Amino acid sequence: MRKVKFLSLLIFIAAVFVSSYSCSKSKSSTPPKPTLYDSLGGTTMVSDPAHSGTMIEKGRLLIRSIIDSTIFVIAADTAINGHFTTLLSEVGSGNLSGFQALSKNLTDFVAVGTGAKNYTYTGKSMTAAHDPAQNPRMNGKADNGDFDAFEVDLVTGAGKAGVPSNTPALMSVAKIVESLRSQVVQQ
Amino acid sequence: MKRRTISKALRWTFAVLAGLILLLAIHIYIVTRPGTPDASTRVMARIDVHQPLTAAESAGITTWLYRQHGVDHVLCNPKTGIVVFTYSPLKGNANDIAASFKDQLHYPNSSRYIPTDKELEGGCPVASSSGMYKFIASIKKLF
Repeated sequence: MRKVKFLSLLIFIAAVFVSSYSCSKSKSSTPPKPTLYDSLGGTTMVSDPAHSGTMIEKGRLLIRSIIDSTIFVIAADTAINGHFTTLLSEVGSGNLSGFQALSKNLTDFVAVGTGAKNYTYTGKSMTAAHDPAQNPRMNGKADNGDFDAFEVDLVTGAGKAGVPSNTPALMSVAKIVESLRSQVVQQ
Repeated sequence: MKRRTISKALRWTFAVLAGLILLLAIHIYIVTRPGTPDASTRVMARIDVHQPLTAAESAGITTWLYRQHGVDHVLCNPKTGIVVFTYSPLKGNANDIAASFKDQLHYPNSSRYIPTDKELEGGCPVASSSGMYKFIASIKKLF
C-alpha cells in the first residue's frame, strides 16, 4: 500500500514537472516561422465553392484549384496523359471518381509538402510510386521528357486557375516539384 | 478419447475461422461497394475530335460544352484535338453529351474516349496497389 502511495506521488511530481516545463517553454519560444502553405493562404477558413455549405482552408483551396486545372491540362496532353487514364474511371469505394481521387491525393501531397498541418498524405513515396517494380500501375519508368511535360502542364494549369507563373509562392512550389525530379525520373 | 477431443476442437476452430472469413468478406463488400453519387460527385470524360482544331473552333466547343446540363469545367486542347470535361452524374451523362457533340457540332469522327482495362492498369496509382487493395478488389469481384 505504501508502495502504491509512493508511486502515485512520484507520477504526480513528474506530471507537474513536465507541464510546468512545457508551459515555460511555450512562453519563451518565438512564434513559428510562416510556411509556404501560409503564403498560399494558410489555415484561414473560407467557403468551399465546390461543396456549398462547407468550409475549407484558403491554402488548400488554392492548391486544389491549381491541381484541378493541371489535371485538365494533363488529361488533354498526349505527351503524358497515357499515365493518367484512371482519371476517366470510377475508383475506390463510395462515390469517388478517378478525377476526384487524383485531385485529393495530389492536393494532400502538395499541401503537406508546403507545410500544412491539418492534412496527411497517405500515398506512396515519390520513388516508390514511380518505380514499376514497386508500383505495378506505373507502366514503365518516367523520363526527363515526361517530367518536363508535367512541369509545363503544372504552370499552364496554374495560369488557368488564375495564378501567374511569376507568383512567388508558385515559384516556390515549382522549386519543390523540381526537387522531386530525381525521385520521379528513374531512367 | 483424447483424439476425439482434438478432432472436435479442430473442427470447431475451422468452423469459427470460416465464419470469421465470411464475415470479413461481407464487411469488406459493404464498406467498399460503390455508393450512389451525390451533389458533389464529379466525373471526368474525354472526347477525341480526331481532326485539327483552330482556336476559334476550340472556343466554340468550350462554349457549347459549358451549356450542357451538369457540365462544370471544360478544357479543349486544339493542338491534340482532345476535349476534357467534368460533369455531375446526377445531371448529365457523358455518352449523351458525346453523341450530341458529334451531331450538333458536326464533328463526325469525334468519339468519347474510354480507357481499356489494360490502359487503366498502367495508369496513375490513384488507388492503392497494396496487397490489401488487391485483396479487397478480389473480394469485390466475387460479388
